Amino acid sequence: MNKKIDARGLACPKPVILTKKEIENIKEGTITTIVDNEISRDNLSKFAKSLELEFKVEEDMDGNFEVSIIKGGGDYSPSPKKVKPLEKSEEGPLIVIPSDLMGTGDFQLGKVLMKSFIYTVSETKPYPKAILFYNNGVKLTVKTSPVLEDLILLDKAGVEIISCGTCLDFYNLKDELGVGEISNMYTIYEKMKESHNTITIG
Amino acid sequence: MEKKEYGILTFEGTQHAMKAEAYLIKKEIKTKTIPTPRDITLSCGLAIRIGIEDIEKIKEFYDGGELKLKNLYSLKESTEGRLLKKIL
Repeated sequence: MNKKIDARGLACPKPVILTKKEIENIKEGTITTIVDNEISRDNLSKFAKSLELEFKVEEDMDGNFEVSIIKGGGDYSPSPKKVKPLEKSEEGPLIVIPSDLMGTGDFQLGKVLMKSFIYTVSETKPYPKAILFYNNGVKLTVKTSPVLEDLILLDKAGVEIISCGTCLDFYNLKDELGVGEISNMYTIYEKMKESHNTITIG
Repeated sequence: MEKKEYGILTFEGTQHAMKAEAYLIKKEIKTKTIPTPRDITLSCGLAIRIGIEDIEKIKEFYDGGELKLKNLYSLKESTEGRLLKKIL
């Protein structure tokens, strides 16, 4: 069964929610979702990847993206499941940062402590798997962030730097992102759920 | 690893470190607030790292009485390890 979803004009994470529902409804087939922005396109790709489903992305003449996700059956043969090597001792934590200040108390002190903390993370191995930023935390991933340099270093080393899109949008900082990627609540919860070692700094 | 050289400023207390940071930013010196390296023991938890090229300016500010600090170090990081030298 093939189906098309027109998710143009819908804000994140709506396109993913709609696609998720349709994917769950079918046994096999292709769900094609049309979106009008890159963030939704990337979120759909990530969604497909997380389910280990095959997908393709096409851009049409008007700058819309068609993301087709293929679910089982037919002539589609699933690729052999990737077995992730277990490197328990090497695996870094997930760090969750809901504020641009570390701890409650003096504002200036909170700012300084956060800088010192992020620097310390960038100097300590193994690196975290991912760092999640939400609410005021997203003020640390924008271009004017006092810790941008350290986060770029971590990003280049393969640490996922993930900022909450809703939050960037709320603070009018969507165009100011300086490092990492924008994501939604699904990814935030997924990362938390997968992690057996989460450190929350706020 | 490439060779890196920095200046490290230490302070009598956190408040001093925060004041010094604000002062140096005003003087347009590139700073990085870091936890005091473990090989410098007797100082407050926060230190300020600067580029090695700004060490002379720090000495001037210190001599002029504008900048309060406990010690000033130079730090060389290379594959062979860390070389820490006390300057002030």
